[in-house]
Amino acid sequence: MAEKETTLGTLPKRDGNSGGLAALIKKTAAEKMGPEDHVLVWPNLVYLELISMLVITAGLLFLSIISPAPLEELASSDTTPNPTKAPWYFLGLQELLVYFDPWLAGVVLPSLIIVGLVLLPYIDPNPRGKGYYTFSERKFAVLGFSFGLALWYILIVIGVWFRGLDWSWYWPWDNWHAHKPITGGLVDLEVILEKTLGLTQTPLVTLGRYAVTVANLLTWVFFLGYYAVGFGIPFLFMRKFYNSLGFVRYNLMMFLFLSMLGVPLKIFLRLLASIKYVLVTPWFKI
Amino acid sequence: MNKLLDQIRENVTQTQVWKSIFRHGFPNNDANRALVMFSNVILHLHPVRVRRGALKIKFTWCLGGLTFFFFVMLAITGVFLMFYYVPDTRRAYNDIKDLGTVIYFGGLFRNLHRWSAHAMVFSVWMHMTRVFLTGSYKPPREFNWVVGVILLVVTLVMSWTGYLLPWDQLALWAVTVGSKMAEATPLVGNAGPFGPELGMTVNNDVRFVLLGGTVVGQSALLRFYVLHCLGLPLVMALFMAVHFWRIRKDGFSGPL
Amino acid sequence: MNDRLGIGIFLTVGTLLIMGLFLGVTIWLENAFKKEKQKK
Repeated sequence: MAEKETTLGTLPKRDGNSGGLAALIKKTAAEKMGPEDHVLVWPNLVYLELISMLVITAGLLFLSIISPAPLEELASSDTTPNPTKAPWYFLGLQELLVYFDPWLAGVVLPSLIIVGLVLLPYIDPNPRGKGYYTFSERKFAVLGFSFGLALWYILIVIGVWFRGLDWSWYWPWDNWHAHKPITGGLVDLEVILEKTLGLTQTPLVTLGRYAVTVANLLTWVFFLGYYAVGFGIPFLFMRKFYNSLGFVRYNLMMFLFLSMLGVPLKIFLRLLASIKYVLVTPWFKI
Repeated sequence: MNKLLDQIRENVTQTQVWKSIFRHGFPNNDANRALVMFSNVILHLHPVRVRRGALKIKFTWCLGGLTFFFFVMLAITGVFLMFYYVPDTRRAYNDIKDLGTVIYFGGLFRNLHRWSAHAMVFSVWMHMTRVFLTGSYKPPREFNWVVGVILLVVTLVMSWTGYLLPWDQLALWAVTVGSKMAEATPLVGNAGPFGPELGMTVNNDVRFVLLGGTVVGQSALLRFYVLHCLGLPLVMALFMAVHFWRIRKDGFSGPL
Repeated sequence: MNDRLGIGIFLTVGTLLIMGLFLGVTIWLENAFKKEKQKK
């Protein structure tokens, strides 16, 4: 149905202060409801707000008195504290620095989080679960979101309570004043492939500074394959899921979702398989 | 005695001055209760009537309102702190020290400011979680969620810029860690992918713009101070206005 | 290596616990509101 073009002449002549617009605006569900469902904001809501403000003010005053703000030595670039920690709300990102290069941990991943959050309402077409708590009607959305949140919070917990000298891992019962031995032994996936498959190290092609070996090409296959398989499985075997999203939404959603899953995956590759980088180029390493 | 009080009230509330300020009687009947909400610009952020379900604490946990409250608290304590603080690397540290030792209630105000900041970061996250779990970002409220994400980011940046101001070891090195990351930005950072290829050096990349120099020094302190006290609060206020206006227009998504 | 395994387990268990917390609260609230509705 084509929208009728609205000019000033077609607006109702007399309609309060809105210039006739109020008559054209669709009534919201709340406005359609009868007066029996409504209560006056004064006193019902205003008092509630006042009480919660008073309670929180009391809480803040209490905290301020029992736990004063810290003030350390005067800033000096001569002495570097060990470890240097960012504010607690950024410690999750700082913890990611263990597993990713700074351009990923500090810039690309947080940007992806923000982009993902911004896009969220546009890539979730599920009309159910609007205005009430529900897990059963939107399992995937709730699971996915709480997984992301859980990852964010656990990394903060680790950064705050489990990282000590040299950003090494310290359990609460460890001696926090003794340095931990530096554990090396991390290798790139490329090198592992070269050694286990006995691949040649002479490059296939050289693109400027980039010498592409067979092993290097294979790591590309693994890296892109992760996304390809991730995109492919729902596309091939969960058509209902794909159809409910449509092409654009599906691709955006799957890219963000797979990137989110990729973070713990890379962490585990490093922790359990001692892999430093999955993909190495002269310009960036992942 | 009561008669006297009544007389005094009468004399005050019947004056031209009083009536020019308050255009409603005492809110002890429904008509005046509605008028209070209708004629007061601050209370007018609310509608006159609200659905019963929207009052459920178990639904909202008051998180959005509390986040706003923390912002107001930060603004008030922040103005107080600004009287005693000069963003000069030679002075800043001692100014903060004086707050705790010389100035009446200086320590209390600094502590309140700090705790409100922590609380605001946390309540913003919790508010976002609540809005997600109740599906309150679904049409027609998608754009307000986007505005909310912007507010979340501004909150974090504001908190981070404030972290530098005490100019102690904690501040300097926390910001140094953060600015190291800026250096690694792809394309526009001198240590980021394709940064050097595009001519980025320590003197012209995004970190240089952020710090106003190659190290966290006087220019960085001034930049962070201005952003913390003026630039970002203005951005915040602007987006908050949009955020609240949208809630007011779209109504509340709460249980029926 | 043992330490790394410990970190991996800590990370996994921690993530699952926090996820469980969010899911638990959601399901609790879902049921609480449903019950309230039935009462009416």
